[in-house]
Amino acid sequence: MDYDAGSKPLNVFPLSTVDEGKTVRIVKIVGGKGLVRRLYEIGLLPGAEIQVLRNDKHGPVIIRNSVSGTFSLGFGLARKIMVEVM
Amino acid sequence: MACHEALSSTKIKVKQRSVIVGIIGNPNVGKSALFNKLTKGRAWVANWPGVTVEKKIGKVNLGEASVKIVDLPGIYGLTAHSEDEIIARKFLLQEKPEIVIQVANAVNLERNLYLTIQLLEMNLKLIIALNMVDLAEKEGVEIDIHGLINELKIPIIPIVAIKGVGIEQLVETMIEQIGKPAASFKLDYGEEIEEAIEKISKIIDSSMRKLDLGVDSRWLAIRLLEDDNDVIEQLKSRGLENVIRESKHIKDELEARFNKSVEVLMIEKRYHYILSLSRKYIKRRPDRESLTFFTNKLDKVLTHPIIGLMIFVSILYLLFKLSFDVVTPLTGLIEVFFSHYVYNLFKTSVLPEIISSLLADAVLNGVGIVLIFIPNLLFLFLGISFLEDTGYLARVAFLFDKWTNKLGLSGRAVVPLLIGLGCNVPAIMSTRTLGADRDRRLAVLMIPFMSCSARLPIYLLFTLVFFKENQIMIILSMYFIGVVTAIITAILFNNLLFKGQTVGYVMNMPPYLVPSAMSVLVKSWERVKSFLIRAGTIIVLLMVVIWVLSITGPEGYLGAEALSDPELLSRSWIASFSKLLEPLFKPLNWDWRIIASLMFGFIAKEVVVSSLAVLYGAGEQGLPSVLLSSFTPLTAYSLMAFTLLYTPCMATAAAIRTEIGLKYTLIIVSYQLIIAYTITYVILLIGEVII
Repeated sequence: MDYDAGSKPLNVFPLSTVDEGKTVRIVKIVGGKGLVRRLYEIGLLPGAEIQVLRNDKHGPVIIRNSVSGTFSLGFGLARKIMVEVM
Repeated sequence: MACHEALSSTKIKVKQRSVIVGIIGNPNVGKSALFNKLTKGRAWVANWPGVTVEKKIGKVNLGEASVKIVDLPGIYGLTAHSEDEIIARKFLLQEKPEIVIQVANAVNLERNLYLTIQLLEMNLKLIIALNMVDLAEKEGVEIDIHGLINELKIPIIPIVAIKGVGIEQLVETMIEQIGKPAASFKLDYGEEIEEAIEKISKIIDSSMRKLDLGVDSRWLAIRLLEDDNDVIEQLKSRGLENVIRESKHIKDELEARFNKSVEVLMIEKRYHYILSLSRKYIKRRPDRESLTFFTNKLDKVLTHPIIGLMIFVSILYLLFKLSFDVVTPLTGLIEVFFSHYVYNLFKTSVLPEIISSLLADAVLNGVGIVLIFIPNLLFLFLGISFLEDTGYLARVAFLFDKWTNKLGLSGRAVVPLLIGLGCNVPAIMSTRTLGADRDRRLAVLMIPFMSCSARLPIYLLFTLVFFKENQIMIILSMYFIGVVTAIITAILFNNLLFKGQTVGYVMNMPPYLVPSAMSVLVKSWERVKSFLIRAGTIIVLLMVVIWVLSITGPEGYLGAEALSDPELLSRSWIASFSKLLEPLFKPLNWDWRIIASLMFGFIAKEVVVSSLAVLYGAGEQGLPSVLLSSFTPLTAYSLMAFTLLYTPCMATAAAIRTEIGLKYTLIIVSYQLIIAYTITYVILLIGEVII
């Protein structure tokens, strides 16, 4: 059996499912170039640690990190940001 | 002596250099505050060519130079993907500013540095105005400014824009920089990408030696690697397809090697560089995040799905109270002054009757309609600008995004829509805060269906006569019909006109701040002024047209008494048009007098009532009994619905034209007429079945 964490991302979830108050790390952004670029430009790129301030799991989320500041992201976007719980 | 002095000062003016300075930065970093401080409020607003985004320009004298300062839209990058980015890029490339001031937020400097790198790559002469240094200090953020200056080789001036701290030093630096060369900056993208940049630069150099695009080939190469549509279009229009082809080839090769998009790689490189700067020059003490702590605490309440909503409703109520109730005496004063004092002055003057009627009934009434809006507009805009500057509106957008999202609208549209319940005019003007053109147009299309306070007198009159028992329910049903129609409109136009343009929503939530009075005042006054000038002229013009059509008819001049004499008015052009339209409104059972009243209702919706009174020869006191004899409850209800929906009033139409252009104004007016007719007809059909 191969237990390589990279090939079996067991603890990777979409941002839209993360509980309020948790701090997570961005693993990957799934989506078109335009979307990826927009999020990267504000500092939301793989490796960035973000704190989830608001998430009722079926609407927009509010996240925060020291590089980007506080941002609110639509539900559709939050589903495309894959994060790992730290 | 004095004359001599004046002469020599004009001589200096002739010698003065004229330079352009652009102010750029991320959203919510205090650009406008700095702009206001630099221009001392002496600025004007125009639109950027071809779009509805505001362009703010100010003129000041710095030392020997006369400087035109341009405030650019708030952006995060310069990739030319959003309208704001395209505007900023075009300005930087085409107007070639002597100096670019980037306003950066010291609290989250890293995010701002991304734009800095892109500006430096364009070889612009950059000054960073490092704003909110006081907040950064409170937050426990320590920035080694000298270290950053040495590293980036550009001036960085710490400022607190709303308090005016550091502005003098910034101005001195600007004066120093005029005429100096720009610092050269080159970010190392790593061996493979650098190689690709070099190759593409060479191709560009060899194929466009004669074409001067005003930018260097390295920048163009970087843009081509990042798939920049604007640059690609520019090259295409100059017949340089080969450059595009070859760079595409190089890019594909690179992507195959990395198995990753080059754009993403390049953004990552820029952020690596930023993080290396951050490690060296920015220290954070997490134990001292006092501002964030306060903002987070407040956000816990204000963005709460239930408590937050309740607080929002209360704030909205206060805003309405302030701008519609509290200012009523002021509005009344203007009305009395105009419709009695000045009006009678003209009416009783020695001027010929037709001239005095033109002045009093048309021009003065038009000016009156415009001026009567001022107290409401001013107070509404003061309130909105205040809420905007505190950072609260971003939270409102968050609260509602879940719902508006389904209509293809960002949560930010909720504020203008709700303001529409007070008055459609400021509602339409406040869509400026929405940014994206698509969102703005959709919101503007929906706003006229929000039942404004001017429609209330019509509801009150008809419900008093026909629905005494359940007056409140009937009036509420009007608001309901309006909101439902607005929603239907959003769905319809989303699928027809703006198909496939939905943008995922990413919005900065700035920390809560106490706004500067100056910024709030300037912003509110600019909006009121723009209504006065741009909408005012159209309104007065339309008033004159309606006046002419009322006092003349197929048989010629009827006399100014036509305006108050039902017999004379029935021979006017307006009456003739209405009679001509009568067959069209046969299914609704309306006679020409209703149609004529609705035409007058275009002036302002509440005019429908007084026009009905004149046309039925009843006077406003006698109107109820006349109505009882010529309407049934059902036709009364259908007329109420029609007045709600049929057309934006003149002031609203003028505001729509100012904001999104004549084409959309015509689309909206005709669409509303169709929708109003259809819904009224459906109401009659359903009503006949029920009764």
